[in-house]
Amino acid sequence: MDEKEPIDVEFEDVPTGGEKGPEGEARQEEPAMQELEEEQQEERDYFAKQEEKINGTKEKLQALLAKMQEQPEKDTIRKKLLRARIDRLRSKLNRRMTKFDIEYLADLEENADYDNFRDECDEIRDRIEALEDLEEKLEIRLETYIRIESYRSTNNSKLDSKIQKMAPKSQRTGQTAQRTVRNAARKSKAAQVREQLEDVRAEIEGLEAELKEKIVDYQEYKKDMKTQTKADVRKAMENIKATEAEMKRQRKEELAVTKPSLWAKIRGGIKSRIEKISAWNERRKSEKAQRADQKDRMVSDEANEVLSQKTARQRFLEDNEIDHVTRENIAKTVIKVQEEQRKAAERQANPILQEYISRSSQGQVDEMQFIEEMKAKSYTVEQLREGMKLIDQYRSEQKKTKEEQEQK
Amino acid sequence: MEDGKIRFEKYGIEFDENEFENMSKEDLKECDEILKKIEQLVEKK
Repeated sequence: MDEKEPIDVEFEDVPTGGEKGPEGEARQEEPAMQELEEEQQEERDYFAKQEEKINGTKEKLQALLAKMQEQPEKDTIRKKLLRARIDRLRSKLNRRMTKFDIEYLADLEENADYDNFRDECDEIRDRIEALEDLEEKLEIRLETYIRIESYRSTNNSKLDSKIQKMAPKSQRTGQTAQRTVRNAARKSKAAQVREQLEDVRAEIEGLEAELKEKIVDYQEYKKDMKTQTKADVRKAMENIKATEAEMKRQRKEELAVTKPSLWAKIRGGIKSRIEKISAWNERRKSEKAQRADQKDRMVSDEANEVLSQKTARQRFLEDNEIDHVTRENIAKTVIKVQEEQRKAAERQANPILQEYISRSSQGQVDEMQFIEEMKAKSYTVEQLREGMKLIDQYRSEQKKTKEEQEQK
Repeated sequence: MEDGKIRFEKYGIEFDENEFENMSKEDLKECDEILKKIEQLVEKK
């Protein structure tokens, strides 16, 4: 007891064998359990999030509907933008629905095919199991027959030895006639069972190969199905895209015809206005040029003719090809020219002006002194006034001529 | 636009690029019904 005490003390805190087992196992299971729980939680979170998102989408659509009812869009351009966005939303939903339908149908088909495949596999497995049972039975039977035949063989050889010993020496062949006959007549039971066993094993092997092939085929088929489904989805999406584009184009055409946009109206208005202004400008330019040309030609030609020939006025007045307005203008010009000629003649005839011109050609003229000198020459006040008036005209004409020359 | 979101600024609502993903047939049908009502509102003169 004295020797055992320290041992007891040593293992005091250590659990005994019985306690150790379950706790140890529990400790080993803990991380695995924790991992499983974490995985489970992750899955739960994922699906909860998905559900939340799906519900969120529905809520958002409901909210959009409610808000659009509360605050409808009045502005034409914004309404168009809104419609475009809703069209995009519709397009997304349609695509999703189409994809879902294709995948769902493919999934249904695949499930049905899988069920068939599984049934066929189960059937083969059942047959294999049955054959394996048979194989087992045959093996047992074979063992039994082998044992029996071995026993018989031993007994027979003993009997044969005895018979051989009893027979005359000349007839001792080492093989009994009975045994030869019996062996030739039928196969042993063990051999028969062995044959059966081989057949069964071959059949099992065949079935296993068939099962393997079926599984491989199904895997290939499943892969093809998935590829086909993807191709179907892609094709459907392309069709939707093409249909949407066509619809958009038709809608645009329809709108352009039935309800032209504000911009189209503005563009049309501006274009029409520009065309009108351009046409008007062209017409005006052409008319102006035509008028100016006609006027210049007629006024200068006729005026010169009138001025140079004594009978021109008569011919001019008799000319029916010239319209009334032109004729009036020409007459006015003629009168103006004649008036200028008259004034020139007057200037030439005025002695005061002539005196002034003569002096001014020699240098600067003092106006006050000139007037005093003219008064002294006994001109009347009327003559002086007339003379001064002509001098003013002459000076202004001179000034004008000088300016024109300077400009040139 | 670049992020594929559909925004309705006036109403303070936006939809993601993959808004209708992982929905069941029933969910999709519900969304379709609501969207039809929205479309009717927009089509009104």
